[in-house]
Amino acid sequence: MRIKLYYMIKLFLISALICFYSFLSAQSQSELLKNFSSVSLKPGSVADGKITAKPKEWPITIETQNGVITKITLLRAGILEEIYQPDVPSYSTYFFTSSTRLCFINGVFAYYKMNNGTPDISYILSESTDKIEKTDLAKLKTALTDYFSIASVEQRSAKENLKEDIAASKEKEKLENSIKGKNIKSLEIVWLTKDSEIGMQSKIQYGIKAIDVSGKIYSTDNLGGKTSWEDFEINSKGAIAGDEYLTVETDASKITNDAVQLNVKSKYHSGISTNSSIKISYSTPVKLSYPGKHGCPPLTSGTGTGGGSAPDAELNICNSKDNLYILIEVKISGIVLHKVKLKKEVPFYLDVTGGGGCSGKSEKSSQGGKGGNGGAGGDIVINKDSKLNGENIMLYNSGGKGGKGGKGNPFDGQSGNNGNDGNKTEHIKTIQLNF
Amino acid sequence: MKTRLITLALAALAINAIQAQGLLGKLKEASKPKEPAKVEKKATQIPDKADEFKDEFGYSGKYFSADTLWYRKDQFDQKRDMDFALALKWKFIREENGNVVNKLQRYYGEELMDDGYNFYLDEKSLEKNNILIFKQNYASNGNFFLVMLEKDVFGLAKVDYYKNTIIEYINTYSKDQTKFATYDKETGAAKLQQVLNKNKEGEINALRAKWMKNETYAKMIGKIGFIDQYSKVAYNRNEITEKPEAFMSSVELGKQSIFYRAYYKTPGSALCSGCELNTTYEIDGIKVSRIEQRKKSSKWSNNIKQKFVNDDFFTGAPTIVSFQENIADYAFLYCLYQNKDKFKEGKTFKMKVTITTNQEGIDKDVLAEGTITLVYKDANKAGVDKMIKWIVDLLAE
Repeated sequence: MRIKLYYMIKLFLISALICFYSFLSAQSQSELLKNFSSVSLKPGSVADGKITAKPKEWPITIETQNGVITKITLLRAGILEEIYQPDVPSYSTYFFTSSTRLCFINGVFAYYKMNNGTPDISYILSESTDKIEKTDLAKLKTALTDYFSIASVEQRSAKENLKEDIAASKEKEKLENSIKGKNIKSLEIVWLTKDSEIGMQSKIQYGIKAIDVSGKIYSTDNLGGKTSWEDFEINSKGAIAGDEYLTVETDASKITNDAVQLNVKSKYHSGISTNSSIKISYSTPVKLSYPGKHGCPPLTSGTGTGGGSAPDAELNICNSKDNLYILIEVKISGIVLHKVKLKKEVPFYLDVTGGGGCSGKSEKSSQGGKGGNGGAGGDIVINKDSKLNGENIMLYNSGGKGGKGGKGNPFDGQSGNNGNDGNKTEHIKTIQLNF
Repeated sequence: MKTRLITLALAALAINAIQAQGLLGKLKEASKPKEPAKVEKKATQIPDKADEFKDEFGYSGKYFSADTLWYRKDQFDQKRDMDFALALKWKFIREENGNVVNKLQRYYGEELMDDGYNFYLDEKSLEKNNILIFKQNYASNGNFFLVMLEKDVFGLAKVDYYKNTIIEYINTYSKDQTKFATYDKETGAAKLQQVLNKNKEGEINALRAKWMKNETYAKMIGKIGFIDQYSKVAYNRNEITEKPEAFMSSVELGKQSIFYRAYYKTPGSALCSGCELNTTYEIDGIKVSRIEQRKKSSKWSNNIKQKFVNDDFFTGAPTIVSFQENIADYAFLYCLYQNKDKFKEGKTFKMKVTITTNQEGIDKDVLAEGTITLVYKDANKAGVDKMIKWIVDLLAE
């Protein structure tokens, strides 16, 4: 008798544990549909929170591979073929097309769309009308959400594997177009920007071709190929190197022989590299901008934050020795930051305007906050060579605008004061620059 | 025996009293003024409009209805008192006063239906996708569409124009009554949705073809362009006014703001409806995905907004970092933060930005990608430090 009781208690505890575990764990769709054999489903349409059973059946075909569902074909209303694939094949929690989803839960299929992260059920599908009629929609929605929540934990490692598979597949595709492992004999740089369109700050577009021993060409996307830019080590002189584009420096001392030099090396073949250069015509405008910081945001009090002052600037300007170019040395806060070279008459812009003040805070029952004051414009000293000609210099150093007063009741806040304009001082003297 | 007789006598008296009460009631009723006897009106099928409408396209004619059409059923919900019809006469008007109008009028008996809100032919769907839809456009939460399911068979449905889905399938109309055996409401709804899907696909192709005529879109398809002021691209999501030259290939870190515009070959919603939109930043081998990062904790979720796919072929000008507004994408900042020890004067870093659809944490379709070179200069250290402080403050929360 005592032994029987012991076994009964043991059985009860095991059952309780199984129940507890099954409560905490969620089976995959493949497991839930293991014994599902129906070839046709009865639909119940969902509208205004009610389910209405419909007579026309929806044929369903479930394809499996080693016990795992790989594909579901649903013939909606018998005419519209929808092909569903599992979200994660090795541990599916739903099946999807590009627009709708299917999930088998509580013995019925929920047919739904995702709307801002929430399932929006439009049909319940089941082998029997009886099951549809007995379905409590609110409970089904909760069960669906709970299922996804629990299943997402169970699914974690399968999802990681899927991510790895996707990454591996992308890597495989990338490798097919990569020069890695290919017998590359040479590289070629193709310039896609005309030199007549190149000046300081210009973007120069280029592409790369890699040719293997059989003559097969691997090229970057902008030359019609699929070879990744990551296959190459790209360095340039006179420009900031980047994939597809180079940006010409605004420091002429970094430019040699008025040209941008580009060096491309294969990351996977030692000794395979190429050099090319492109002439700079200095025919495009140069715009340098060092404005004061704008006051907005944060708005810490009723009064708008003031704009920042712009730094002072000094320009030394002369013609090049051959008298074809304008040379400008630009100092910002006393430090030479740019050595600009331009064709005659090509504009040069310098912006050292003060930062704008932020608007005052609006108040509902008191006066609005005062607008922040504008920052001061930077002072500019312009030293021009006595023989300078052909320059086209545009300088902006006005004070920043004061912020608007905040809206208030009964009075709006005062607007902030505009910042003081910077001074411009011009000196004519002998300037000699050589870059 | 005596007791029995008394019981019987009492019972007879009681029965008589009840009968007398009944008679009294009847007499009272009879003395009241008489109401006319209620005569049930029999529902009557109203005759069809006499006119035999015809047009060169064959849209006009008599259409049988799958449902019995009760007269103004919505207003008087007692069918037995109403007239009904089993068919409507349709009149397609191609021209009016010398102008092409492509209007469809429906007659319920002699009465013009649809309260003056006529259906109009969707010429674009017909021309571009060879799909016949008459649209009645006045409902705020959806439009009524009459869609040709097959020749001479139309489905009527209330459609969510933006989601391209049926809100309610209402009825099927056919010149041939035998078609109703095929097109019950569920089948009609499925077929109509199929037609809408095909139309949407056609619309996407037509829109892509339209955008491909735009020099910038054609050059940037599948790519991301970077800018330092959002005003360099059109504010309007429906326009591309910028030139490819507007985009920068390098940026001085800490000095310039960074915004971007991405150009998609196919909108995310057409590839993965209901999915999230992910952006991944990669600098020097360190990747930070917005979706993965926002799932780390509530502070990340609060600071990285969830985004979903939409119908757009290109973005507006989302912010990576804006010094004007002091805002930044925290995923970018975190990527930058993990590279901060490598910053040296003049050093450059390639930053790759990838936008993908994301289905429950898995990146699926790559919508666009782009690379920009970040240039570190000591002169801009204050700006870099400011960005690092933003992320350090968040990490310390």
